[in-house]
Amino acid sequence: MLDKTLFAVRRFRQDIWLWLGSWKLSIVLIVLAVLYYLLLAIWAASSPPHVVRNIASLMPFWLLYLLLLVNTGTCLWRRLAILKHDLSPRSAFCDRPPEWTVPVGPEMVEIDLKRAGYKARQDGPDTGLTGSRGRWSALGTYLFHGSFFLIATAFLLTLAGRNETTFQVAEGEIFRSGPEFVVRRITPEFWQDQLLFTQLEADLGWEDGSRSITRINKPVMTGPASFLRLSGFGYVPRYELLDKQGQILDSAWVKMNLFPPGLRDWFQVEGYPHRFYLTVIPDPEEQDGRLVTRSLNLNEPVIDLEVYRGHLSLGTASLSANQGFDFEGLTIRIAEIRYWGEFTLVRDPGVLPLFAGFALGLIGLMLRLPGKRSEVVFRLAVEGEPARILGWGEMPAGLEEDL
Amino acid sequence: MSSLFGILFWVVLVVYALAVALQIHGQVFKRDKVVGLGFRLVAIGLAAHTLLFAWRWVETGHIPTIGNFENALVGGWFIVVMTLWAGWKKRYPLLAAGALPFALVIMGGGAMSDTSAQPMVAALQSFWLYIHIFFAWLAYGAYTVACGAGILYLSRSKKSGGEDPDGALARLDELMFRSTVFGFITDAIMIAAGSIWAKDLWGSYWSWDPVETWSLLSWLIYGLALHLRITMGWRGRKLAWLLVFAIIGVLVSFWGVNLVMEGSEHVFNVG
Repeated sequence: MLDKTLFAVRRFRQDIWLWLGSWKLSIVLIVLAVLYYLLLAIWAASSPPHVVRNIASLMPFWLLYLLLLVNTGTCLWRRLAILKHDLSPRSAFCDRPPEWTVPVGPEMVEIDLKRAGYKARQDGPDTGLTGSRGRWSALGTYLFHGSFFLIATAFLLTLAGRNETTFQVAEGEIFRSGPEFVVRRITPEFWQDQLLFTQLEADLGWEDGSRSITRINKPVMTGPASFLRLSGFGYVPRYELLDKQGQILDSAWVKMNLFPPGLRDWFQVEGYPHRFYLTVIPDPEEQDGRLVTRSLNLNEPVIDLEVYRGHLSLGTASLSANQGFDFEGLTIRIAEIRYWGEFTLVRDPGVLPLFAGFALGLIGLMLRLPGKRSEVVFRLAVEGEPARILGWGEMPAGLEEDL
Repeated sequence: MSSLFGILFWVVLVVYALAVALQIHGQVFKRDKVVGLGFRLVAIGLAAHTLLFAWRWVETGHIPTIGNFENALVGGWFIVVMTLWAGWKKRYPLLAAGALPFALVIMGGGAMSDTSAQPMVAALQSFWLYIHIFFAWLAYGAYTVACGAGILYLSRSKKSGGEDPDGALARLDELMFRSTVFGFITDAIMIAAGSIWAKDLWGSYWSWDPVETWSLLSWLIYGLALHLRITMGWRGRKLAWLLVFAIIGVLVSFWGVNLVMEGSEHVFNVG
């Protein structure tokens, strides 16, 4: 009875092992993955990415990923012996060579072998030719499928450890809540007068005195798993609040949402009840008696200002640099305008394993590209006999015909 | 788009359409010479198409990769080049009749969209973009060739009742498989490069954007086709049917998502 039970358990374990490493399971799992992504693709058409992301991380799908990995791992493990054989030297690889007989000369054979993607090699002056293709193909399959484990690790690391912080830093300002840097300059370039950035870059100075340029599309690495990227841009006016005698009571840079031109934003000076509403005209020109902007570049900009106390408007003005607006015994003026950059500091421990996974997978695919390993041996004809081709592996369609 | 450019564009489309028509005619009436003539006509059309490609490049100052029109112009070019190459290599000129209608549809669709020259906005100025798009074109070209070969396989095998006296079916089967392998590999490079570019541009290498999701779906379907071929021995008609249907995913991710959906980050209107 005990023997029977032990046998059944052993048999069951063996069946499970075979099932987990079977190609049929691979096919079923890929079909399930296709259906799953089809569902996500349809969902993605009408839902924002975070909804799709949430669906993508539901438990049944984790189970599918897990089964895919287990199936891949088991398949790779079970076929290690085949891999060893497939990578062995030709003499060990070609156990029982089938033979073809073809009535052509060695030159013709060499041309046809090369055309079929074989590396043709003269064995010796009297021995003939050897053709080889896909020598490392089996290893390629292993590397490609093995890369899934690195990519899966990357996704897990990202899920567990990714975070990002977005902040705004103005030109000349030092950022201290993280890797310390100063924004030396922000340079936007626009296409014609349209809201199309042809360039947006920030010149950064680092704590150790080094400098770097970051652009949209070109983040700066701040650590092995973290990077800083430029993700947005805006205007920073510097106001000056003066009393009747022209003494500066207060002055500061204010990061405001005034870009693109036409956008209105406000600030308040501490200790005063007034609100200052601003609109920037970056490159002003007069059209039909009103100021419009020629382009999006800052070129002697004009500020449209409106001052409020509570709900009461105290007046409006269009101010050039250092022109003031008087109200209730005070004067406000915009002395200068600079840019601020929106920066995102991303920490993602999954990035490096992911790229390593990509590299490994691509190396594998490249090795697999020539197709299944095939070895062909050509021996010169003995006088009076036709030339003979001895072939191993799968002959490609057309080669035999060509020969 | 200047009027001369526009005229040449439509001439290319007409030449391709004529070539397809000639090949179908040649096949139906069993006139191999007409099929060959159609194939040579494709080569002539390709010469003019290459001129358009270069013209657009010089005109805009960047590789034509921006917007539906440029993608259709260059995507169509890749399909035609790969069809010609595969047809010549496999000595199967009729392949053009199977694959070129896709180039015609894509280019025709591109011509309906905004054809004005767009600047290379900051978001697109990346080395990875070129890698991403180049391999996307290669992949989609290869998948189209595989689909075209599949269509021809289905039609020919039905006509011959599965008999293959001249080895044409075997060559088509091999072409379907090889094109799928090539497409699968270049598609993988496309997805990887896109992911690296997305990391630089959006700070995240995968966002479940509709284009990303469809691309992954298409890649998986072709992966399934390869598994079925290698492990389950799917050849001939079964593989051909699968490849004919699989092209739908490619068309949706290349074209359909931007056309139908507004929620994709792959639609670049503002840099």
